[in-house]
Amino acid sequence: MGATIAEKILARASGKAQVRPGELVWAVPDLTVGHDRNYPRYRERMKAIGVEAIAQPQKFMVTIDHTPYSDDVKTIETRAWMRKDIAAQRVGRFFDLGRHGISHNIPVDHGLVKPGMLVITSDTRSPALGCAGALSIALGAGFLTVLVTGKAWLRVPATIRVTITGTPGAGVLSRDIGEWVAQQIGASRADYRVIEFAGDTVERFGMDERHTLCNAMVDIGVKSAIVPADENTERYCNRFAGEGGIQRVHSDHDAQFEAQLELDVSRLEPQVSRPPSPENVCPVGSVRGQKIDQAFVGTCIGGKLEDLRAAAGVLRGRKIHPSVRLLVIPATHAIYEQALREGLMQVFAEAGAQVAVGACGPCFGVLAPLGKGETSIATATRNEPGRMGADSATIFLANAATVAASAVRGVISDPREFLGRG
Amino acid sequence: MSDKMRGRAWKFGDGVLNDGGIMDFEMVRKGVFDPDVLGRYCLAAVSPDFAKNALPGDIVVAGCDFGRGQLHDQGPLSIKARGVGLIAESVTRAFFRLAISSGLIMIPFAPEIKGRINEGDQLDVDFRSGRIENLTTGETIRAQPMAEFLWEFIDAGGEKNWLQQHYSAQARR
Repeated sequence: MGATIAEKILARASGKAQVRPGELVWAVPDLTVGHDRNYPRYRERMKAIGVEAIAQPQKFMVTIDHTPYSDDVKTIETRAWMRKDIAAQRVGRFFDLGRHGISHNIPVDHGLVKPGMLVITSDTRSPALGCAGALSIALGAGFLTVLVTGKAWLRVPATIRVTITGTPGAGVLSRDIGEWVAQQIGASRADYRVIEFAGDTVERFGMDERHTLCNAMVDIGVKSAIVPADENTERYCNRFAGEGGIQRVHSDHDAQFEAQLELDVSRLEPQVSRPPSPENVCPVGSVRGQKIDQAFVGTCIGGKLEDLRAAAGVLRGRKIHPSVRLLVIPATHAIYEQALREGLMQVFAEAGAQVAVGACGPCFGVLAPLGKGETSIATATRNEPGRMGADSATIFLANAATVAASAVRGVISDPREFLGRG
Repeated sequence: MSDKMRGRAWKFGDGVLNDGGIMDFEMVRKGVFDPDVLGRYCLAAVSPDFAKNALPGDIVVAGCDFGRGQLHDQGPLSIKARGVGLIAESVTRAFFRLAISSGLIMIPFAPEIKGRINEGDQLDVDFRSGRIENLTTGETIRAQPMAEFLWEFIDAGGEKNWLQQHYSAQARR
């Protein structure tokens, strides 16, 4: 009987000829990822249980993303300690301020994630790295076990294959497709599963769009999501020659998928996620006219070049509504550099947007959080109460063009009304 | 670690969020890990009555997809700190992982349990065998317990303690 991509990667990583869904394995990751919030915490816990050295530190990358703008004394001192500790532990890569960025995006910027890899992280949204044909699994507190032992206990997940076909109309971005697909699959089917994507829509997608698609699956409880490696993946890998070989892993013809779904997105319109969950989508028309106080383009799922280009496309030559604040945060420093080269940052500045770089920002309730009773429309990851500041703030999620259009009008607006003009 | 509990059932619906449901996101943002604080605010956003009145040994009886959202420890840690057990029709993958790491006593997959337990029923639960005795209705329910492999972490009091037992400098000697 054949195997799926996830089963093949987990079999290799656990030194077995084959593994089956439901089996518990100890797997050795190829890449591990930490950040400024969790690195100090895990090191403290290691100390508390009497373990000094990080196992396999050369595979470990650490970045600053939750607190790059913190002026809190404790954070500053923790970071000073962290720099020394990272050097002493011989951690493979450290992305300090000025090279920093969101942990779920940095591995793509630097070609650290490759097809066929097993990536293990602590932070929730790393399944986004399935964009490169890798299996990326987030453990939360269990990441401590990886730092101590160099391996993780994992239950082999069943795989659902989701084929996406069709080309949607103007104003629709990968964000809309991702959240709508998540809604169609649903949490009851997706929980604990791996979603493996196929279909012409996905084949046309570049790394940014694939990253969004995999990232959106996190909210329906997947263990991971993966886009099989193809020519686009190879082009991405070739930009980082010398960073290791490309291993194209594909599901066998007789692999066992728990379910197979086919979804046609050709009639999809721009979507808006109503609180409290991202897959709670409706067409933008259903919430059009809703007044907003704040708009935010950024985060691991909505601060990539695809998103910045779309937002700038709407904002070019326009001003943000006087009663609205717009915050734009490119997800990483590398994305920021490219946005500068393309003139996107100038568009944001001239439109009246506040700009920061490489931070989770309001998606972690910091930098420019929401006050009581305020309403935001954002490209952020989640919209449960309190996610971006006050518990009583209301968060709508949408693609970057919709967020930008809403920032201009002061109310939730359809981005298609802005296309083809100016 | 005790794997049996006897107490009052507190019922919750489907899809209770982890952040913003089991635990206020502000606690996550602030990085609060103090069990006393987490225990006090456990599930307060969903049921102020529970937060005020739940006693150690009581049992949270939840619907499907308990603990939706991000991989933040504070939710499961707060349930453990409160000293209550958990029976759910299903928990999310993220919550499951966190709960095992936290050493939370639970029966995470007990389909249709909500229809067989009423708010306020007295329960006697053996989490290791999956036997749930509803003392109020007299019904005994047999649910699927957690795999033996995972009890290693629960018995140790969580994954961190398990690591300490097996990997600390002392343990390696």
